[in-house]
Amino acid sequence: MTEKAEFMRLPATVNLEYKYSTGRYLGRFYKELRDNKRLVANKCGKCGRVLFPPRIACPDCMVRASDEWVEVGPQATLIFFYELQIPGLAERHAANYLGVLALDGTEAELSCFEHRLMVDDPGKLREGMRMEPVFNEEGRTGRIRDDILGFKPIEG
Amino acid sequence: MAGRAAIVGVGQTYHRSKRPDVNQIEMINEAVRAALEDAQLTPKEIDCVLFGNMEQAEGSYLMDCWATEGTGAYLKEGCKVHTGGTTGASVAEAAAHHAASGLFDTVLAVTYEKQDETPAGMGPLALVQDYLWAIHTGAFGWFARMGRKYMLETGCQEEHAAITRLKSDRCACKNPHAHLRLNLTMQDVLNSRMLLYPLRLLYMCPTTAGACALVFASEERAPKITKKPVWVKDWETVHYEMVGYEAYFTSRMTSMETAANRIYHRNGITNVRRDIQCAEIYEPSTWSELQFSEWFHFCEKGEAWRMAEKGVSDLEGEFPINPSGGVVCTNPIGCTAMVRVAEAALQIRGDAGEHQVTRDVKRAVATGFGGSFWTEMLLLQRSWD
Ligand SMILES: [Zn+2]
Repeated sequence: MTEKAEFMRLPATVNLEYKYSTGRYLGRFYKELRDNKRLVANKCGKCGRVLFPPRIACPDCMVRASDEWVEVGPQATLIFFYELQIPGLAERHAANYLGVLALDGTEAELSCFEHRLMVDDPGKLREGMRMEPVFNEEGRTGRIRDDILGFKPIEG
Repeated sequence: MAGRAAIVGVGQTYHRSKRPDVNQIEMINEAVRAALEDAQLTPKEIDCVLFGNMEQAEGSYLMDCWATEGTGAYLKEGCKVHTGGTTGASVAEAAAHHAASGLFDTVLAVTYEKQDETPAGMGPLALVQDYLWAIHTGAFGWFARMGRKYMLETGCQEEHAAITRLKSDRCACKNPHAHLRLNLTMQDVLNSRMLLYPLRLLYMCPTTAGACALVFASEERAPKITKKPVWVKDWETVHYEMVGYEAYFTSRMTSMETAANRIYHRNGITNVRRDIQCAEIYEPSTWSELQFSEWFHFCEKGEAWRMAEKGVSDLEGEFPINPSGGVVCTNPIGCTAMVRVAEAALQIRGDAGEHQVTRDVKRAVATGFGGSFWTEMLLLQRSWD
């Protein structure tokens, strides 16, 4: 007598809590954001490239970056945006629209990042639009995704 | 590298969305057996086993150690190579290195991914970027942004992506190993769900369970194993600076252009579509196939969508791209880039079956994409010279 094969699938959940060291360069960025609501970048001492996010070495020159710091933003240009239509994504990011933003004073091609868009009328979103951050006023931790609630269009 | 290496055995599983009938080790074993059978070798005749997968995907770590009965690596030399999306090509390149070095006569390269065991949304993949930085939409975001950039720069419209997707589907329908074989119509593609504009569900690579294995042999040994060795003439690995930061559009030299330039220069390839007869590229989305084709110099900048429109990249076309159906039809991640190498080798051997291209393929390229926009490229040839 042959038994019909039963293909079992057993679930398993793995919860992992990591603690990441921010390092000297990103650490400085997080501290400035948390304490002063300032966005900072460091520069390459050789080619002058603004490194954002701040980092230890310039990838172009392959030299250690300088400790020369500059303030960037907070105003930014909206490069690209999308509506979060994938199930679960809007909830995960607490936003219906995300944008790719380049802060003033940074090299957009290599320094742009994703963040929430805070807009009353999404129909008014345009690539190239000028935006500014809305900071979290209480309990900042340094994390860009929490300490900046989102970016909103600059009025006027 | 002074020595030479050739692919002498090709094996892969039938790629499917779910494989509840096997566990990870059993699935790996299917591909290994297929490759050994193709090479007409026994496990005893393999000197070294190299292994790879996208570790986060199944939540099982050190699979090179505990899948030995699946790979046949028990008491053999070898190690794991893990480079994210490029893993399959990395393992193939490492195996070619090992066989060409003279240290091993036969090297088995094995990769797999069993994405039916992966947490929804590839949750752990969030960790491939700097986890502390900003917000990440991951692969969906990257490929949507790349598609949008491509449209803006070249005037490509969505219908051209749809034409390209239909080409992939026609190829996949002829490839029994492919995962998504859908017999799509234009309406099916244009009505498929929008994930992030302009990336629709059907333009995105699927989650696939599957494994692939290749046997590499040294210059001396290869002709003794098979009448149809596929020579690994050259290979290139290029890393890129975008380590988790958002470089959705860049006017800089990409890792793909860099890899292609080096390979073409070293091998005297001046007219790509004449000197190479077929390409199996890692196109994570349909939009990427168009954009990457330009970066690999398969056509001029801004011309890829016109090339697709004219049917140049079709199976019967002048320069077939991904006659297997490509990555949008089959994507067992850590294994995906190795499937490109396997399929390119089959085209050179003339053993691709129903999806064998019309053109006589003496030379083909296979590529891997992944990591932080890394590229690996292999140049395969029927004869060394
Ligand atoms: Zn520099």
